[in-house]
Amino acid sequence: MEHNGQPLEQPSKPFASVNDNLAFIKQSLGSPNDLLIRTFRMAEGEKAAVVCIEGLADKQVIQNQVISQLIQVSGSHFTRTERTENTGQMDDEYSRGLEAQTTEQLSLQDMRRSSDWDDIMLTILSGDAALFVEDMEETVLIGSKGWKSRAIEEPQTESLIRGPRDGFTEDLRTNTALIRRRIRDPHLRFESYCIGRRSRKDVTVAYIDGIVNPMLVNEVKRRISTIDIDDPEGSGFIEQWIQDHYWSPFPQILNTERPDKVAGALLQGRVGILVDGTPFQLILPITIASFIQSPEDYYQNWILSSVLRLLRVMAVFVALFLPGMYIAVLEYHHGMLPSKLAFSVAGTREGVPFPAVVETFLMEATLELLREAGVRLPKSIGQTIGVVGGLVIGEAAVTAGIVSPVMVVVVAVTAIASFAIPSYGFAITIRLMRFLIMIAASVFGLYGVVLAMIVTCIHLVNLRSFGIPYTAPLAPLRLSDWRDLIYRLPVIRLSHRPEILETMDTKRLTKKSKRKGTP
Amino acid sequence: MRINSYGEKPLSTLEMGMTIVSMLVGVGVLTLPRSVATYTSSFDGWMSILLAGGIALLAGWLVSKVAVRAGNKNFLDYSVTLVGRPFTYLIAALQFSYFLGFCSYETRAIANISKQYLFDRTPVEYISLVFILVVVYGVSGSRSGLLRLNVLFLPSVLIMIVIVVCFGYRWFEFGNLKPFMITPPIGIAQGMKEVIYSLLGFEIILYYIVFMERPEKAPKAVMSGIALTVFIYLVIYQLVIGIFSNIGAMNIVYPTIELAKEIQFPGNFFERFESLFFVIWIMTIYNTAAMGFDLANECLSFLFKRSTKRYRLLIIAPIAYLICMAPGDMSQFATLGNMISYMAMLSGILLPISLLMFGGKKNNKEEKANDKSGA
Repeated sequence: MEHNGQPLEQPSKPFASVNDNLAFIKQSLGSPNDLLIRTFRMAEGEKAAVVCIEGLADKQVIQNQVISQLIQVSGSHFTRTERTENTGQMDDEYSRGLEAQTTEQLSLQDMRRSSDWDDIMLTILSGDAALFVEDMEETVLIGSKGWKSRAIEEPQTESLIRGPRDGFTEDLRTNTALIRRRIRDPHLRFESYCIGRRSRKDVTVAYIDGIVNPMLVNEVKRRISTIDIDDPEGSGFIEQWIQDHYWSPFPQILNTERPDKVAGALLQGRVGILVDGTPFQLILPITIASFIQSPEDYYQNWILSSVLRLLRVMAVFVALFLPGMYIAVLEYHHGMLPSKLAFSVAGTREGVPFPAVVETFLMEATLELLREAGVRLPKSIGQTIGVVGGLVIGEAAVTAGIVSPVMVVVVAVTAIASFAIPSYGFAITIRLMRFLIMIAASVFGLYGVVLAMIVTCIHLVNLRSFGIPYTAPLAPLRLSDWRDLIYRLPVIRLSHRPEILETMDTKRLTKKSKRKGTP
Repeated sequence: MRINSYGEKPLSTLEMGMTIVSMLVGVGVLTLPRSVATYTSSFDGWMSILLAGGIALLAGWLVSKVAVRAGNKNFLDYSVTLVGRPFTYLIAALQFSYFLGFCSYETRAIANISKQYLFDRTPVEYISLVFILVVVYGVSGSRSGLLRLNVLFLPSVLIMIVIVVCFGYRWFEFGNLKPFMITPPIGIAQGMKEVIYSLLGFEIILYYIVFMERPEKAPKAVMSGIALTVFIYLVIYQLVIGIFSNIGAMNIVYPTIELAKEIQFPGNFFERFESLFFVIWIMTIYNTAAMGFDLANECLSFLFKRSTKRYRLLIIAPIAYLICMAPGDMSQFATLGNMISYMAMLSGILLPISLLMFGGKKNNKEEKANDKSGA
């Protein structure tokens, strides 16, 4: 078939001629300059070509394991003369022999054959190489993925004092390996999906067969299969697509950079979703308690972790209610402050031109601005914003008489408390809710605060994460799950997986029966 | 997006008990010590409370028996099979107005007390309007969510009571309780009447039993709920009498809140604890009001089968607000409370129990019929 500048129709399988194949690939990709094509003659004289994308494929592998092998090795059982006897017709036997010979000669682990053009294209575009041989009906696809990727580093957003230092990277294979290294269970399942009409991203659903509730896995698969979008950007779009209530500000799926967190969740009977191209992987289903728990809780002594969890619960409440309470008390209920404190607060507020409401909104807005600016700035200037912000909030605003020193204390404590929440996504929600509570407090005082809290609770009890009530095990009450909730009992007492997940295998550990008699 | 329903078992017996407590503990307990002290002298009100508790336990047991008989059926549908449709419509209408009145009463009480303890200028109209709106928001969600709210809120209310009891004993004077047993039986009986008003509301089991994991345990749940409530009342009552004495309790409008006012924490880091106490108390009152509203909606849905929930809520909410705003002063408000209590007696307790007598024979027949068909 001669290629006369006419566009080629997509055939059902590769052409017999290598040149036609190359022309077709060039045409469909638009001859990009990162497309690498190497044509050569095999030892027997057949024309062959390797196609891959520069930068995605490992050139060393292709050079050493494919091209040099095929050029050097000879010993074909089938010669070209055999074929010339049946001219005009492609000889099946000959073709099969050629394939067998080609694939035998390659000393590669990751290799498969395909005759589906969509498959071949996707494989080339995802970094593997395709080997075309003259007169061969199938294409050999060679696993040669090897691009520059970030090394495994400590997670930026969730660092721990005690605990493993490795974090997920952008590379899906690395990430699955990080989980495999932690769970050597043959029942650990990774199920792959290709998502994104154009980006064709790899998404892997991870779970442990035999622990997880199969209905949950089916539901996750069903929801993932409904995703039909150009590109699921990071894991965020997938999260937002499959969560139960998309109008809620509360995250219903946990994202994490820590492989130990995912491994722990899988062992509890949850499901992980690993997405290629982002270090943030998803854990589901979750309940509201998941946000105050950190993997560190399990690495440390149970007493310390219980106290720390309690501290985090308090941090959530402080971050949520403190500015609102400040407004409510100063504007509506002066009497609630002890008289001495009331005097000193009133003293410091002397000369402040704004009512407490305006003061609080002003300072909280400044703080949020500062925080947002801190994220955007390059790291070298990040220090500057800290100093400037500290001065603006702390010193200058007070000296200028815009806000009172007590307000600065309130803002600072709120900020610190919100940083103590282990989940960043949840901390953002808390920041948002804080402003709602401040508005409620400025209109109705304490009454407004409690109504806002009731409204939030109503919202929470109606939320579900993959069918699991969000407020479980508080409500519905599952007392056996309280063993690992706000406090964490000693390891030996955590004998069961969370009841609320309704796992297949409920027992987590077997206590050796107490030894009778003295040792 | 479809929501799958696994992972949610219906209410356990414990949760149902907590729901009952949430329903019973409302505004009643805030004024209860006063109304009891009015009719009894010194500490004799405990007999009223215990006797009334006994009656409530009996009534609760009977009512929950009716609920168990109805089984998985809605109470009103069950009633149709017993007494026919027209009479059930009457029951539904009665219960609708009772639950609606209940919700309005609680709302107005919240507004009154907030006015007294939290605000000085904000008008009652706005306070109750916001409350009704929040109630509507709660009811418009899922019903199981509403029941979960009870479980979420009750512990904080119980913690408040424990704090009050722990710190209140500083001012407790044993002398205030003496002398014992000096009230004539008439006084005890009148006190009982007042207590029973504050123990109404366990009729909700008729409707919420369908949410129970094991409906046959309903009597246990209801009775333990009532027993805990009676215990709470007793603890608060003896503390009020011990601190304010009988005469004092008679003259304080909201003795339970004043009790919280007396509390002083060591170190004086917090004053006027009663504001916080009441604010937390709002949560349990909210539960009571929201469940009343929800059941009013349920009754209305029986009356108008083809209406959607949204329309029903839009109809009920203004009516509830109007009822809540109707009483002009405290005495009219008290009259409203009495009316609602009578309606509760009639529609919530007497009618269901009479159904029990009605249903006895029929039920046996039905069971036999079922047995036959099953065999």
